[in-house]
Amino acid sequence: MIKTHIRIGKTILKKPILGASGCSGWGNELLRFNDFSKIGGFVTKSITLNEKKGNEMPRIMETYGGLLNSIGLENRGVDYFIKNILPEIKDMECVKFLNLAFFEKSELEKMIAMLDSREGFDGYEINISCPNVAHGGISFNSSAADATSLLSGVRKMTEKTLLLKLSPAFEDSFEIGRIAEDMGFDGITFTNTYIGTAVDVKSRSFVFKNKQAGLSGPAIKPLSLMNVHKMRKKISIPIIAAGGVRTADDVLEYMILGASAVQVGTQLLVRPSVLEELCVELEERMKDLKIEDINELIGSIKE
Amino acid sequence: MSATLLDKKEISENIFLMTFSRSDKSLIYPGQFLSILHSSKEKILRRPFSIFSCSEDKVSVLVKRIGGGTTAITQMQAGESADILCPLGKPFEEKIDFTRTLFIAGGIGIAGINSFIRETKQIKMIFGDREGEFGKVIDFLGIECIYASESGLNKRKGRVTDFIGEFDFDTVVACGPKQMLRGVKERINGKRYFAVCEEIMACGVGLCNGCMVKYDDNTFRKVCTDGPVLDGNRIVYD
Repeated sequence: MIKTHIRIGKTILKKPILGASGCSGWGNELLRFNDFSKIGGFVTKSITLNEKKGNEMPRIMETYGGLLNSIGLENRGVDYFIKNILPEIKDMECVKFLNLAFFEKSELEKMIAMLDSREGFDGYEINISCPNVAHGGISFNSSAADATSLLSGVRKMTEKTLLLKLSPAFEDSFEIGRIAEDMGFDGITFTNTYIGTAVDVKSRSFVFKNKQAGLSGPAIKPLSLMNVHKMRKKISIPIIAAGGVRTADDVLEYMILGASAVQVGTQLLVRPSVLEELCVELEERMKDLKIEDINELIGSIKE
Repeated sequence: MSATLLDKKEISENIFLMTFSRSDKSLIYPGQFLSILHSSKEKILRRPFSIFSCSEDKVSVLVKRIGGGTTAITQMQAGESADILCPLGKPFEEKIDFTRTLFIAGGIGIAGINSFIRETKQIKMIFGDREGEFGKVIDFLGIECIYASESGLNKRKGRVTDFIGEFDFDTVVACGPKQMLRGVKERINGKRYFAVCEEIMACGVGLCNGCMVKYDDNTFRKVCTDGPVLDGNRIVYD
């Protein structure tokens, strides 16, 4: 009997594969394509305290082997989420994390206060790494000192599983990961997208109104693998790896380097059924490689 | 969904009618679309296409070969299997009186309009392109329409919007480039206007919020799941 259960904080993942925030919608869009009893789970789109309209078009552009996006945290705000979306996701048969984004610390605290007594989700992924908003977002990720003051006290507000999603754009992310571990966070989601851009040669202008955008997809996998490897040396809490996961072997690579689970992002946009397919593929691959318990794989890289 | 390419016809230079098998039994409504996974290694996203025509076991799309993705798709051979998501988009269920509706299509936008006129070819319609390059496509469809070309190579010289005044109507259904959709809005004095929108899409199924259009109250609509048929009078055409 092959064992694929993973524990992160208080959460048991039946499979070490989650849909990434921003590419999983609110879960209901994925239900048409996946049997949720057979997947690990998903992370919602970012929720902010107040409604956010999101960025002007264009918001996406395909690159060689990847995808640039500049969505801008579009969502209807936490009130709307509680009234209209939480009732829909509450009974879904998989693990659900809420991705929370904010522009001031007080907004994060308000959201957790409003959400925490409610049922129907497993924890939070605190997002300080969105590259697509002018304030808040990734600017919180640029200095370990800022992140420390921002995150202190958050652990006391909830007993649910607490993850922190970090950007690969700053060397400080590794230090922030260590600080989050000291504060009692249950895991680190690493990496968010890489900051990139594109130029329209006819008009000699940036393609995106915000100039920069986040790069994801197969193109970034080797970069995120290396970043996960570096983060593993810094922290001992679980890492949930993200970056270009497409196949079962991609999952295994990340886990051998020390990730406890992975998130699938861009590939979900290409193949919305990929969560269920990957979970099946992973078990088959484990059989091939005679791996009985996925936990024995984590951090088993030979150096 | 796994499908098989049954037939591929090059109707005109770079424009292909591709017919696939389908196994799902869901009803397909006008304006709905499908997306095809392709084998290009350079481009990773599916390509969305208006459902041009369909039956219980077949579905056809009109593919214009433009870049890496559409090139890979049009290189497929009959008998090859394809990964297709179908149908996508919100079903269009508004009642349309064909005698009072003007259909307007620009270029490959004809594919989005064709699904509305499956029942009758007796319609009021304006079609436009740049240099008459869609002539063979219009002949293939056998639609009676005003065919306007900007170059004047066809019978009528000008843009589709130059000919709207020739018709008496109270509803418009239009599909084509954004500038055309905007031009239509400016010339129909607030008459009922269904715009069949095209936008670059990442997922096509509502996951990513990448394919938005903006409405006049500064809110966004997803082309993939709120559309592709949207209120043409309310769209802000930037």
